[in-house]
Amino acid sequence: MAPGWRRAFFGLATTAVTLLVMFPVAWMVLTALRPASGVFYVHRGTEFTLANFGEALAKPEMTESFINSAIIATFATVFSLAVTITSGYMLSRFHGAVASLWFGLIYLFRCIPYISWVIPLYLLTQWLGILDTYWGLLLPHVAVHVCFFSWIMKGFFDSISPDLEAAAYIDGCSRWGAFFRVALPLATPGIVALFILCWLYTWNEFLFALILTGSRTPMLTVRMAQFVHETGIEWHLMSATGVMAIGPALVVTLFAQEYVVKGLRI
Amino acid sequence: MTGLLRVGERERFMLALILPAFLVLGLFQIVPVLLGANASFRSWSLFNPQKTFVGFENYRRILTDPLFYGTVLPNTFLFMAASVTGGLGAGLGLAVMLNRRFRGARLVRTAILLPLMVPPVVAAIMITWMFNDQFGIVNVVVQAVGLEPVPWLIYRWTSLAIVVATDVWLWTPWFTILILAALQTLPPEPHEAAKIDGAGPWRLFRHITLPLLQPVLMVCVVVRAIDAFRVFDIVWTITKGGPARSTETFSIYAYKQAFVYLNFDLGAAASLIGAAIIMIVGGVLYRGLSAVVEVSR
Amino acid sequence: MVTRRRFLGTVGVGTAAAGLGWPRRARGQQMELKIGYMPHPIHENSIKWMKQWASQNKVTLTLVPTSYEVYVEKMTANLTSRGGQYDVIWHNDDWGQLWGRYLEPVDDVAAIKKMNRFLYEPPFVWEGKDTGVAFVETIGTFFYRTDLIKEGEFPHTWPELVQTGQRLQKEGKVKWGFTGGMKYPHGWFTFFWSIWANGGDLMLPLHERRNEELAKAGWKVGIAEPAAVEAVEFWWDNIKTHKIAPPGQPGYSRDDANAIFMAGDAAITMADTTLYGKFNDPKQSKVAGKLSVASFPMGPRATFKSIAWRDAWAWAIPNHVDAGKKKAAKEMLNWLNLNEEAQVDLWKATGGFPPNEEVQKKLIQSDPTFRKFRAATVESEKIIHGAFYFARWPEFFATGIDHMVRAVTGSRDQIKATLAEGAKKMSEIAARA
Repeated sequence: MAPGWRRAFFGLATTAVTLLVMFPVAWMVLTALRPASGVFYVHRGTEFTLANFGEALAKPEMTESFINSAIIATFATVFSLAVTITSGYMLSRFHGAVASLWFGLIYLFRCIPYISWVIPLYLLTQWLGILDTYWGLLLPHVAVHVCFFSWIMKGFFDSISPDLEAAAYIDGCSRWGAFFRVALPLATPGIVALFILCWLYTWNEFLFALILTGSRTPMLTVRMAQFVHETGIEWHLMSATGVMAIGPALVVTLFAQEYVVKGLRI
Repeated sequence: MTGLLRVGERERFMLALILPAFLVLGLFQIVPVLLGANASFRSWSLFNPQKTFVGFENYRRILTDPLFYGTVLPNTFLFMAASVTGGLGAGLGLAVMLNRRFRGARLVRTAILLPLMVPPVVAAIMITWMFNDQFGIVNVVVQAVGLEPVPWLIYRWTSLAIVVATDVWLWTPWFTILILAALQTLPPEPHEAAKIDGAGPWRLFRHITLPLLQPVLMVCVVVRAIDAFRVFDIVWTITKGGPARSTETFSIYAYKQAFVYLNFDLGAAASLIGAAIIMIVGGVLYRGLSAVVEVSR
Repeated sequence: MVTRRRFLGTVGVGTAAAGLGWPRRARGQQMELKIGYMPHPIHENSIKWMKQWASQNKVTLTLVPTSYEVYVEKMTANLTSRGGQYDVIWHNDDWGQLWGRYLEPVDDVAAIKKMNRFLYEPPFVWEGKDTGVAFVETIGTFFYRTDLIKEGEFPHTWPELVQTGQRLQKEGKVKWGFTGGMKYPHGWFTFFWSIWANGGDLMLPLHERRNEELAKAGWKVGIAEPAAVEAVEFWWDNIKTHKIAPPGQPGYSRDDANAIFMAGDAAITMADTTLYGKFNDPKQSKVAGKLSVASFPMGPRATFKSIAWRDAWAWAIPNHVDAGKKKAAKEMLNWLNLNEEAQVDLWKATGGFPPNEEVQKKLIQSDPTFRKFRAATVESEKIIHGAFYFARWPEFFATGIDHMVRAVTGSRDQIKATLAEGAKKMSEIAARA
């Protein structure tokens, strides 16, 4: 193929894939802009309104839940990364009984579906007195991430040669020193990528938010679903909230995306 | 054994590295799972926990339920295979595409990451809405090309297809971002060497890039396979396992036992059976993939 | 907010949070009542009035909304573990058997005497004591569009329903004659009403709801009896032969069906009267202002003129709540049901019948719409409960609907066999302790 054709094909394919991927979100935006009576046939009619956003935000617990979701997502991410960076590093650099045991445990608990332990977890957090508090939602999130992130982090450290750390030891660095000064900076791009994934995952999480919260910690996803699940067919309000919820997620992604690129160029 | 017990400086360092993770995991996952496992050996309905010990009776009941082995497990495996293959293929393709420099790359990259920013439950509600037989945009398109509108959610196979498509849509960016991160950390030397040897782009990809991506791809596939096996929220939101239980996956089955039928004991037993299956499948997958990659190298 | 500040303080950014000045909740020494409910217009109306009582009585109400999706399991886990997250909870009629042993008897709430006893027995009775205070009656009725069907010309029988639907569709006035929810847990709006309107029932003896009697009859299931088989065949025909109902209906929840009706695409639907407020709201509904109600069109086998179900949603008090709060909660629930203004407001805002029958009598005098709603529902010849009250009801009910959906989406001559298979499983489920 001539390069011109090739480029045209590439451009066309890229556009098509992008549009296809964006379609459900675009549809949500369109639904969010239709008045309540026009929401049945989103594709018909030309009335558009911004009132849905106002109506969705009018409920006081809506702003509450935006703040709550942001807090939980941010702190769950920070804590999850903090505990799994070290755990992944250990899995990557050490072998033997303890490492195998730890990996086995992680693998085992990754395989057990949430639903089998969410009710015991509810009772446990209630018993610990942290049900319907930030800790009661955040710590289970961290626990969920332990397995997967340790594993992914191991992969990141695996791709970094341990020779550099060995060189640091020779220069008189302690184990912790080598980890913090040599290994950690090299793993930064991966860690930032994981940061986005973890933040978005927690921001979007539903099942824990549904079961482990009460009046004091309303979460965004639960509120959104309620527009359709309880009050029924208020698609326009759910979409409006959904569009607003993409906002912070987009900011995080754009910011971190930039960071990934920068981190990689170093 | 002595090696395990001797606690030197190295061991202290190792343990300190995993201790925080272990504590959180222990308290908020291992303890609740053990509580659930305890219930699976007892007669324990959610509304009236009698807690009398019944041995393996709950396991026997799940394993002899024709719905479980005849519909639920096949659905689960099918879903897992379709979702992982679809997500991996699309994710790999997009990552390779985004790894090139072209005008608008940033825009495309952001657009492709968009599904990650939508809560799965909202995405699933949106998809259900799009496939609504009366108002949905999909049937508008179907009618525009002159076909009869399709009641998508009353057939098993169309329902399953919608669920798989939603899952692929949701998780492709996840594959993309991890593979892209790996692509960008790949050392350039092997590529340059191969280019000098005159290798074309496909051979370069097949024999240099792919093997170098192997560790990341394997983790992605195994982790996604496990997650797809346990899929809950989008199936629950889109089909609730219907029509007539024909699209239940194993998490839906366990959930229904525990929380719809309030048989907490049976639900716990079902989820542990599922966990055992996926552990074996994950292990086989990991071994198998390693072997395949070794051979093709 | 207290929770948030405490959390942020713990992680060390408390000062920043305080600087942003998040509102501080006033917390005096007032008694606090925590209300567990589902965010639904009916509950919100009831809570609006609770708030008035609370402010008059120096009580703080804390609202704990819980999604319907997880309401039963969360509340059940809470009750069995005596968790103390709630002081007053929403209690649906078909959970009586699950929660009875964990609830405070409320016989001493005087307002219950003003309600119809039928609402309470057996759903809200545990070991001879009442366990809930009703706050709305939940009754199903037929809604239809008066711009398409004249009052008085509403079909009385199944063939008339089919004719009416087909006529309107042929004249191009509406897309569908009828629509209603079908899949689990929405079977009332299609399968169940038609089984009842054809003289059948989910269990036998007919219309029996007392567990002792059902056990004595060997937990006999009625869905493979001719009346029920005909009802399912009726739906098969409506969807595939007469085409008066949408082909996607076996996958519909009540919300899907309500949307079609509110979009102006169906002439008739079946729903709870509590949806009247929504259907009649011009902002949301294209059929607002042209609505009426009627009783069920009857099937060929019925030996009575009309039938309706009559149930209630109640508030209940967990029995581990401390005595002072129990007393306050009972006073509040009593006040709620004796307050005429609150009771009338519930009806006007939502279309739900207020349970206080003295108020209902006054509404019959003053409100022609209420009169019409009563005539279409509770004044029917037969009044039954819309559910059963044994512990395995949720599984029993789900199994029943699943088989009906399978029957209605399969081939027509397999309907009876599929239902018989379901009946066998359901009977086993019901018999399990």
